[in-house]
Amino acid sequence: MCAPISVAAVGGAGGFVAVQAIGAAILGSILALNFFQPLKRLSLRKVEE
Amino acid sequence: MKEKKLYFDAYELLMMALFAFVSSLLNTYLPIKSFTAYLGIPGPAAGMALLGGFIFVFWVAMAHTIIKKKYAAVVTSLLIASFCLLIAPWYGILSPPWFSIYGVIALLSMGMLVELTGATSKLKGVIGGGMGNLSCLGITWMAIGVYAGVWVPSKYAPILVLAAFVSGSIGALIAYRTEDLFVRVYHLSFINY
Repeated sequence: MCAPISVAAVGGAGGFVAVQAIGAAILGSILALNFFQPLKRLSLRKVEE
Repeated sequence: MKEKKLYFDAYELLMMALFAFVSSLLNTYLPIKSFTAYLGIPGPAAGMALLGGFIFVFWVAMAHTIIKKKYAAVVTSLLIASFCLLIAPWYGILSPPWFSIYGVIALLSMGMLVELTGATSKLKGVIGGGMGNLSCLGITWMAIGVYAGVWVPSKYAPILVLAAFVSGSIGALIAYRTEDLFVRVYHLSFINY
C-alpha cells in the first residue's frame, strides 16, 4: 500500500530523514504525554464533573 | 497508596506498540499493489480501500477493545503512523518533504472515529470502523491528488468508497469478535484452575 506511486520522489535521503524525524517525534510525544499524564488528568476531570 | 505514574502501563503500551508494529509491517511489505494490479483495480490507494480494514482498522479496534481505556485507539493509530514513517515515506512521496503528515492525519482520523464510535456500542464501532477506513482513504486520496497530481479514476471511485467502508467495518467486526473469544477463553481457563 505504501509502495511508491508512479510519481518521481524528490528529496532523496535527506527527505526521508525528515520523514523519519516526524515518525520519531510522534513516538516521543506519545511517550511523553503518557508519562506526564495530561490524558489521565483529562479523564479524571470528566469523571469529577 | 502511591499513585500510578503512567496513564497506559508498560503492558498496555507494549500491546499497542505490537499491534501498531504488525499493522505498519503489513502496510509496508504486503505486495498489495501487485494484488490490485492483478485484479485490474487502479490506484492510488486501492489497496487501502480493499484491505485497509485488515491492515489498519482491525489492529486499532483490537487495541481499543482489549485495553478498554480512553485514547487507546487514537494512540495506536498514531503509533501505526509513527512506525510507517520510520520505515518509509507515506506512499513514497518525498516532495513536499512534509507530505507524510497527511498519513498521520489520515490514520489519526481513523483512530478517532474508531475511538468515538467504539466507546458507545459495538454496532456503532463496526460502522465507525468503516467510516474510519473511508476517512483514511479520503484524506490520502486528496493529498495524493493535490500534491502528486494522481487522482482516482471517477469510474472506480464509488466502488472503492464502498469497498473501503465494507473493509473497515469487517476489520472492526473481526476485532470485536476476536476480543469476545479471548474473554471467553480467559474465563474458561480461569474457571478450570
